Amino acid sequence: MAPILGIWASAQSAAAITSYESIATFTSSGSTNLIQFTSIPSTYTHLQLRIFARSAQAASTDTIYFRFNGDSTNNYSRHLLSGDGASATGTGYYPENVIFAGTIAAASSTASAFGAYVVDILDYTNTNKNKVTRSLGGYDANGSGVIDFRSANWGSTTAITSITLANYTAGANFANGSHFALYGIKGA
Amino acid sequence: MPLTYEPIATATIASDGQGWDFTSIPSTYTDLRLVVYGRGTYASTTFGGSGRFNNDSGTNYSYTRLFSDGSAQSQRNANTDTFNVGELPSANATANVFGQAVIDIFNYANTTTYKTLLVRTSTMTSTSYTFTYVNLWRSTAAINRITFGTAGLNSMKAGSMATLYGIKAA
Repeated sequence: MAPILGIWASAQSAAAITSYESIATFTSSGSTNLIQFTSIPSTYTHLQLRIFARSAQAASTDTIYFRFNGDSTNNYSRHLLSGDGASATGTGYYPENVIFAGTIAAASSTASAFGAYVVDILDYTNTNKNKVTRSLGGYDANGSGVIDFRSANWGSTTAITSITLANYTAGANFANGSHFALYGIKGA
Repeated sequence: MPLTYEPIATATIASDGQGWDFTSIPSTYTDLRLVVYGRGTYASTTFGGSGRFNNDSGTNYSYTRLFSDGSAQSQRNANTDTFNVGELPSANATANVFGQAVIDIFNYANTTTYKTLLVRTSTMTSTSYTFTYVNLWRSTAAINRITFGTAGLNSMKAGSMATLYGIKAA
């Protein structure tokens, strides 16, 4: 691609990244409370979720969680380093029946403010390892906000073939414009 | 499958004191990622990296950050006139030390939501920092321009480099 006009500094080229592919995407129209990526191909080395979301729950925040392969048992553990704008805290939880991606803005927060998260799921097809995830993200609403760095373990050696995401507030919809994109990252 | 992670432009600062101005950003991606490897020219050990979208100098930005200089801390700031990424090495830092910032800008082309961006920044100077930020730009305008630098949105050391990537969703 030709350099963009208007760059003050000298333009150079950068190589395209061919190992990062889009698998599937969901955009909420406001009536969705569950996002399901199913039949995830096993042809990648890692997965990455990119989340841009807001909850319709009547509160200032909600929390997105996810599960693998429909496993709702106490088969997960997680750790969190979080900042709320005033202090930093670290916590751990075990056992758990979900993994939390992180905190997002909800209906009584600043209008049109959404949370964003990037979730990495490593070696998801390996049948000899439990699965580890890492997420970084948060939301800011001009005077309130949370930034989260999380890790989690799914205590299963099963290959991941599906991911289900929802708001922790049961039944709360994802606001119109919420966007969930799953990518596959290939190894050499 | 088509490419989903593409470089849009790379720019290296040619002379001390310049900044970056990515203009005419195409709207054909889902997210943007700006990767900065830079050092400032302001006479201090570090100086905060900051930027603007679409040349908006209004107080329409805010952030919440989690960072460490050896101890974990969190702060927020509302109604700022730039988005912020944390400290980058500057003129009084050890020679040849550059910092890095990775800035993910979500849903940048949509015209119904405010824009949220995530930042990871590392600064290795006499005081080392690591930062994570979530920034909000309170505008529903599609982002078509990103200006970035240190003091005055310029003040970058020659050799500082930034690459803007586009990430497509299926």
